[in-house]
Amino acid sequence: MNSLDFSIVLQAWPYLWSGLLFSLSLTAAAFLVGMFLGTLFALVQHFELRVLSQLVRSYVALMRSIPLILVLFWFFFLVPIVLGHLSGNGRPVPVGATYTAFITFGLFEAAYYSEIIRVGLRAVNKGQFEACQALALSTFDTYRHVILPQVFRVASPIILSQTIILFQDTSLVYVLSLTDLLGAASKLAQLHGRLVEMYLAVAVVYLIISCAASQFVASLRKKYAIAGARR
Amino acid sequence: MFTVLLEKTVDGQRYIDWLVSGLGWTLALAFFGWWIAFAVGVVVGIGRTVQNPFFRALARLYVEIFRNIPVLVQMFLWYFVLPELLPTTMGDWIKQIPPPWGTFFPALWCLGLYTAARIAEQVRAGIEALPRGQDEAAAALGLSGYVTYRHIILPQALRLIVPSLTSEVMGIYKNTSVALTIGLMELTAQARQISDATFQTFAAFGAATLIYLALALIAYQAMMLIDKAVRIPGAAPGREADGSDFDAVKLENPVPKGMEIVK
Amino acid sequence: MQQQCTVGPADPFPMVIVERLVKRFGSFNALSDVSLKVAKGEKIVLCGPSGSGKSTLIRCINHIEKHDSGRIVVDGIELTDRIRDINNIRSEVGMVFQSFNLFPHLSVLENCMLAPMKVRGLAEPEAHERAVALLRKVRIHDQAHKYPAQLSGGQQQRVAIARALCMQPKIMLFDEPTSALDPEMVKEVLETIVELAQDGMTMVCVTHEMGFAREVADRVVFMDLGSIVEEGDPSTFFRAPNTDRAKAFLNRIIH
Repeated sequence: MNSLDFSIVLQAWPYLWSGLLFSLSLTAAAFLVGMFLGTLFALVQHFELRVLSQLVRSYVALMRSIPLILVLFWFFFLVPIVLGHLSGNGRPVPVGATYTAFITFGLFEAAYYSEIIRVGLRAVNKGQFEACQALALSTFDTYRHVILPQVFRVASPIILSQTIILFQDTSLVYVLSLTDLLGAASKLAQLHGRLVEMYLAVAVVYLIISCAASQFVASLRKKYAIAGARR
Repeated sequence: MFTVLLEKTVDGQRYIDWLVSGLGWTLALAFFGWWIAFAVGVVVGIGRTVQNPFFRALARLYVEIFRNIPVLVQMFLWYFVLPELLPTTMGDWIKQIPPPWGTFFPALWCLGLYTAARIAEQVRAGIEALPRGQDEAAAALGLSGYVTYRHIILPQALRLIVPSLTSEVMGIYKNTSVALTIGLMELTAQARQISDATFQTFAAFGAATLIYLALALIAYQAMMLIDKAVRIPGAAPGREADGSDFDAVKLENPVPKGMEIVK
Repeated sequence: MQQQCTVGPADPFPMVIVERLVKRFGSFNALSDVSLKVAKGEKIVLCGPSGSGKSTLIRCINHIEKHDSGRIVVDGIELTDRIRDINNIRSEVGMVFQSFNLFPHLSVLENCMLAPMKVRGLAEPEAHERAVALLRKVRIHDQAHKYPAQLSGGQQQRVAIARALCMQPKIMLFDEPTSALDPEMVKEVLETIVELAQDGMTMVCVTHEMGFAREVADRVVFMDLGSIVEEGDPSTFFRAPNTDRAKAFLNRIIH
């Protein structure tokens, strides 16, 4: 066993930091896109729009049944082809792994967020809809100002827990050879032959960030548990 | 579309044999990993609820560590880092385990212990959801702590969390694909290998996707049967026991109703 | 004005006309062939045993339940399936629910301002001014910045009344407004409704509060099994009901 030397981690810190920034921006982008699409998907199912809601349900079931790595491979292969068709000339457009990762994570997470929001929509008291009807609020205003704000509020602990899992899952872009936090560590580890130090350091960084975030979620849960008397 | 799977490979097999072999590794990892996860998860989950503060802290530490490090990073820790941290002879012995076992076992520990942390949280939630009276009734009967857990608390708590355990089964089964990063040729890895060898990406990934879907469906149905089989007569269907009024069961179901369409 | 009680059915321009209304839930007939007219300024109390269809009737009037056949005309607008008709009627009809149905994520003031701004197109200062005035009227303006969960049931129901009034409705529907309240809070809500009645508001109120009915109702309508069984002015109805069913019902709730 070689003696451990963690000074390599300090030297590599700027590179790791840029990797971490990539992980965080991928998480943020996937969160925004996923929440936006997920809300749309959930509404489509909530309104039981005939063909569309069947399509959405199949999509959600599919995404939730296959491994994220396989989804990444699929999109890495499909996105250039689809964009080629969209752009008209039919030739695959090379988009690169970074964009693929952003597109994949956004679309993949949408499936998970949509399930959370769909269930949240079902949990809203029927009286809320009736009160909106009695006030003649339009469907748009009803969802925009009354229903969705309540859903987001009630579901926020679950949405945030899912986002912590998302943050951890971004490490899987390793299979696309991207330089996220883990990717950066892995490249340096192999360059310097310091796998043990690098991987341990990365594990600690992930641990600290995820722990802090779940602590925050737990406090949120507690807060809502007290406000549970709200109904 | 899938005819390419029947063509001969360079090593004299057919491509479909690669897929079947990959499926075998996926199933083996998921199955044995699940039992490790379940055994460890129940113990740690109980540890989270006992009186003794030392055991409680230990169980909490386990859960926080294993739940908050990405499974891929844990995979690397088991495969690359652990042998280096052990005494040299032991580390060398581990490094000399022939493939595919040299990658299978690290992947197995990794997935099992990672999933265990998640199961532990479900078990804890199940135990905490039981009415206080159960504890007290057992104490009034003079039952020991062990007997109370073994015969009163656990049987009820586990029944309660069958739906959320379903999602953990699905979770470990999907996470098996992470093992490809340390070189285990499981289903996703084989699909990629076929794609690389034949350039028939649609067929290769499509076949793997269908297999994953079919298995998800089977696993889901099996867990539904288990839920029905173990339900206490007269009790409500199992639901996730985190005590919130939010219908979290359906959230945790990895295969939502939409699955029926795919079927 | 003093002839109001008798004007009801004969009024050439009633506020609400319900004709031969039928509403089914599956095979269950919630309303079978119900007709009712409400004159401008009239106060009607709907009573009857549970499941008699009284709530269903007022929920049909602003199309929260969709009727199966028959006609509903509110303030000259016929209620059809067209969204425009429905919304036109709903913005003229205020409704107060048994379970308040305040929006829990909005403050009392915001609860009252939302619909006037979004439906009536009021600017924020006007909506605010109107909300404050009506909250003052139900004597809850000092709680305007609280959230519903911070209020008592009686206070919540008074906010719900103010919220409905902010739309300046021509008629108010009350669906058992005091049934979900603790006994000591019933009074404050009923007083609010009585004041509203004294201002001349047209109202249909489903309630079992017979003292309240005696005080404000121009007409009591008794329903059972989805039909109107008997109607009359409160003093006659409570003293000497015509039908056995009404007698049985009154016996049950008085004793």
